[in-house]
Amino acid sequence: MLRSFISATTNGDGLTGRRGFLKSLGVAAGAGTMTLSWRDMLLARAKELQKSGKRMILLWMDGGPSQYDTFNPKPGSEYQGPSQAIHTNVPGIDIAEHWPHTAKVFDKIALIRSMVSDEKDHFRAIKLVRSGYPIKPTIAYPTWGSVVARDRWDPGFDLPAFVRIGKPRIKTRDINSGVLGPRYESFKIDEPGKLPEDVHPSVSADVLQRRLALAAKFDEQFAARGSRKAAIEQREIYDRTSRFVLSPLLDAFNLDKEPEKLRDAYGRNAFGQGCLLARRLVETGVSFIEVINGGTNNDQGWDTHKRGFKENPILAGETDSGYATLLTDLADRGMLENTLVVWMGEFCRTPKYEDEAGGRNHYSEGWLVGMSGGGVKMGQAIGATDKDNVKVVDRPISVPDLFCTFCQILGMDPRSEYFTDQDQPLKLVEGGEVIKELF
Amino acid sequence: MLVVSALSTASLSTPALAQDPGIEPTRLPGIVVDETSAKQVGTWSPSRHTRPFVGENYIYSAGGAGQYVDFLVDIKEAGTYQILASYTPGPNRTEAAVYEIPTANGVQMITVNQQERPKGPFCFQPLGEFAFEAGQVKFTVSAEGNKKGVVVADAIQVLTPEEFVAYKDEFEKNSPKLLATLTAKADPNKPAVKEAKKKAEPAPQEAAPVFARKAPAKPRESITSQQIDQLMEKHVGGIQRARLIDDEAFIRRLTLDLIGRQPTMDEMSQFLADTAADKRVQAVERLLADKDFGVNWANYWSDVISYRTPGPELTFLNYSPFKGWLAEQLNGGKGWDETTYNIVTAIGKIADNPAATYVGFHQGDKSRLASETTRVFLSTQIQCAECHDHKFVEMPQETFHHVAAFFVRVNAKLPWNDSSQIVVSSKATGEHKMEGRKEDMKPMAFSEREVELGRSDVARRAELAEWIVGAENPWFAKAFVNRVWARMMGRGFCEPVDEIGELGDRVLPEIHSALADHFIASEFNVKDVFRVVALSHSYQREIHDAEKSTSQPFAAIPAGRLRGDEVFDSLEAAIEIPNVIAEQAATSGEFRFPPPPKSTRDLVNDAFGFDPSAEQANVARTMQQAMLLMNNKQVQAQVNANPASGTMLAKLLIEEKNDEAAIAKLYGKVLARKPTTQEISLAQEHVKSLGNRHAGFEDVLWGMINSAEFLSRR
Repeated sequence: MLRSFISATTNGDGLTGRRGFLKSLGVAAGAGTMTLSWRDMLLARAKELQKSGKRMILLWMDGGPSQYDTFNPKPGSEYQGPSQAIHTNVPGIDIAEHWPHTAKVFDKIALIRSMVSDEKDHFRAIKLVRSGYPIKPTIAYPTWGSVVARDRWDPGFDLPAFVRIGKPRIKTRDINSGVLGPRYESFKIDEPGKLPEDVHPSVSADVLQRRLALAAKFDEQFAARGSRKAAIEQREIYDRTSRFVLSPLLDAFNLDKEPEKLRDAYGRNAFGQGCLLARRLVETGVSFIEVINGGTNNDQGWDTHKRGFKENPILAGETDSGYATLLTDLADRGMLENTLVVWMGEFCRTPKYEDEAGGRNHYSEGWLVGMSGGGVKMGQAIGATDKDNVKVVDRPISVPDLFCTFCQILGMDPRSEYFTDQDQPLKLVEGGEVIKELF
Repeated sequence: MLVVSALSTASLSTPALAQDPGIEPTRLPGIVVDETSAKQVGTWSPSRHTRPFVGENYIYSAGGAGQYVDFLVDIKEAGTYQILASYTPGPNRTEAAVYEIPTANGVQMITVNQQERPKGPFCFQPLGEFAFEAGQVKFTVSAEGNKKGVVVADAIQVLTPEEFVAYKDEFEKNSPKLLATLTAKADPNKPAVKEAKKKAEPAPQEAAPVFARKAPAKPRESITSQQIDQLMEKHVGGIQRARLIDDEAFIRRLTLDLIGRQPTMDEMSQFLADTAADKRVQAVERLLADKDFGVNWANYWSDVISYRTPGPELTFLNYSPFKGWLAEQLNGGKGWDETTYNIVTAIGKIADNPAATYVGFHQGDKSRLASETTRVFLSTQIQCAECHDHKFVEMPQETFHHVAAFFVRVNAKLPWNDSSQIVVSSKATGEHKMEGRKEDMKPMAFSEREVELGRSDVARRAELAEWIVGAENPWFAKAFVNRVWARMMGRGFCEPVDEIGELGDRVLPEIHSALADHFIASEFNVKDVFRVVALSHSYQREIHDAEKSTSQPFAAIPAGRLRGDEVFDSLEAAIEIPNVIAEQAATSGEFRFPPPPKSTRDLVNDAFGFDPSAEQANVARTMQQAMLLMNNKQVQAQVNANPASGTMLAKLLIEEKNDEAAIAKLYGKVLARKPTTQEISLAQEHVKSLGNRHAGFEDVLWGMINSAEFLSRR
């Protein structure tokens, strides 16, 4: 009894299928439908989807960025190091000098300066900050993108709901769809502008269609011999996959379509181009995009234990243009209102630095989150640390608070439950409260 | 003297005098094969220009098709070895000499820039550590794809990791002196390199008592295949009058179930031609004796464990040593009780004792070991009780913590990167406490087995293991036969298969118990469970969907999903896809954690693998899977009818000029059956409609491997 109750619950997607959409589009467009090409229909559909739900872009600062060299410098503190502070376009908010472009768009950022967690180890902190749940060895909590993908799942949409751009700096320190299973796993783009090899058919679209039609006939034979269920499942996934690999929407992954000037503005590095790709995907209707920023210094990322004074400005330089241009570009296109952009890493760095080179260790009090769009009140700083960045002195905010806030923005109920692949009920977020200052 | 000065000036291109000897291969540690005893194919020229080198000279070639050297090495014992290649560097050398290493997991290609000086010792470049099976292996230095410069081949050396470390130490301490002693002029009676010294090992830790089976309190009854059928008739019905599958379907399904792939055409035709009355019995025996039986079911059990083992932070978990060990246990006829006992009580380094993989990969974590040990070996889930009393069954929170107390003194040390170096050991002290409680928790298994506080780690684990594998354990035998039954009959007596307690969905309890008793009576003989099921009428029924979703379980055997390894092995059997391993990136100061390279099998497993404990209905078909078979270059390279491609398809079309015969053969090869007349005409019409035989057959082959049937247990 227990089991059948559960499966009935998990099937409730409640989304309009492909056919349903086309029907509603037909009603809206009337006779005009006849003149729409397939591509037009798909694009119209993408636009339709955009209206129906907010999207999220996570800019992940892999390794834990230094608050002193990013958005919470402490001029005059013995812990500050050589980075100077500069004004932003929001009076009263100063940030480190290595972010000149971001400083000009700070009216599009709500900055949280008082994040607090218990986790100072990369692995544990990554699991916490990307899933909302503290690590537990017996359950693989899904990364937030998978949770959103499950909420926004639409079998009629050609592209995956969740796309990851860039690779984690260390492969084993990763978090995936976990108990949500392969359906809500991210589709991974290692290098912006380049689709994974297996997406590209090795033959022309005509030949592929011809072969698919033949395979479908073979499956009919298999079904006729008694295995209809397997044949139907197979055809479903092949329909979906062939729609994807042949979809005109794949153009969204092609950065060559963008003006050179805009590509330059985003920054000609993996992160900058990743941000540009994220915007294209949001535009096309993808629900959640993760852009991993691990820097270009091998597998070190923001984990600057040794030469922070030298390396943090480089990392900031690789991030500044992409972040700032993404915000202005989204705003210019009127898309920021419907797109939540979050800038964060797994923690921050110790106030005390090791030696002249400015290496700092892991620290989880007063780490930073930048939030933009999705209807949040931007151009403000929430919470504060003391004059040295040692203690949070105002408005400590926890990871569950942050995730409740994500839910609020994305229109999801943090207390609603889903069932894991092992039939355990799990809340979207356990504990926490919405950060009211953002609304 | 000249040799020494050449090294000390760091110049390796001092011309040698004709009489100057090279390094004497017999004086090097390990196995060394000089190029003079290798098989040289193509045009290779000798030279003594650049020193040092091994033997009389070295050889070089400008490269091109058919230019390579094969070094044959006898590996006495299966295991991990460091492979080194000798070459002499220089500016006219190639930037990409290719070394093919035939590892136990497939051929691995290593590329070396011969313009750069070898890392040493001397003219040797370490290529890395690889696993090998015992027997003769062939290392190839290939100049086939060479574009610029010459490829040098000189010698191949095979060392155990310990030998390599000792040899390198000596080299780093005083290389000029060592080189002098290695040349032929030196005293031939003195070994040049000291035997690898054994490191001072820490005091040996207590090992668990050797496994001793206890007879069941009351003898259990065996069951025959006929008795299974009678019970099935009684509870399910329709078994005796169900049509038996024909020989073709029988051998296909049996081969898939026992050794994890479809039969080859030879195996198929041999079986069909066999006229013996008991040929099905013989086939079962033949496949149970096949070494791939152990390999296949070791893969299954390794998956059972690995899908619920989270990866540690900085170590890539490599299950191959464990799979190899487990395959030996299964093939060698070890009782499942003894194998389980050895896994749960294992101690030591995984490289030396692969049974320690399970405890080691769980990092000795007592909570995980408590919940996983009961789940994996007893199909009884207690993890819910870690944090609160179990919601749905009578299980207080204490139950979990009493089991965790068995593992409280396990210690596992994790190295960076290499999981085979994980060491499982014991802590001298420690007791488990439940959160919010003062008293120490006694190790206690479901109130059935209790151990005093203060006992050693190994004593605790041995007590627990003894209880788990004992004939009186209510779950152990049932857990195993449930999984075998589920794979062979399409669903378990209990689903999910790792929940045979009250929470599971239970059917046919009488047959489940009878089969479990049979397993106990046979002293946990693994092969015997497969034997008795495979020879039943119930197993040999046709595959088709259940009539209605509400109909009696086991009234029909539906098509099942092939596991990841089975998909790869079927691709290997069907289209002869090679298992290629990419080059391993070196660990360096900059890239401390380069992920291990993926073989073709790994890629297929990534896409098609699933947790064997999952219910079939929860095993998703994914876009990643479809894209792999639709578009992947390695797969598509085999869907090529061009005669020059040398693929299975190309050869088949050359042999069979007649389309109908070619279609029949393709069905045999790819789907392991004869086509129906309808299928022949379907394919024939397709080929004809294209007016291009090659393109037509490429479509047919593509269609077959992208069909539901190819991915089904059938």
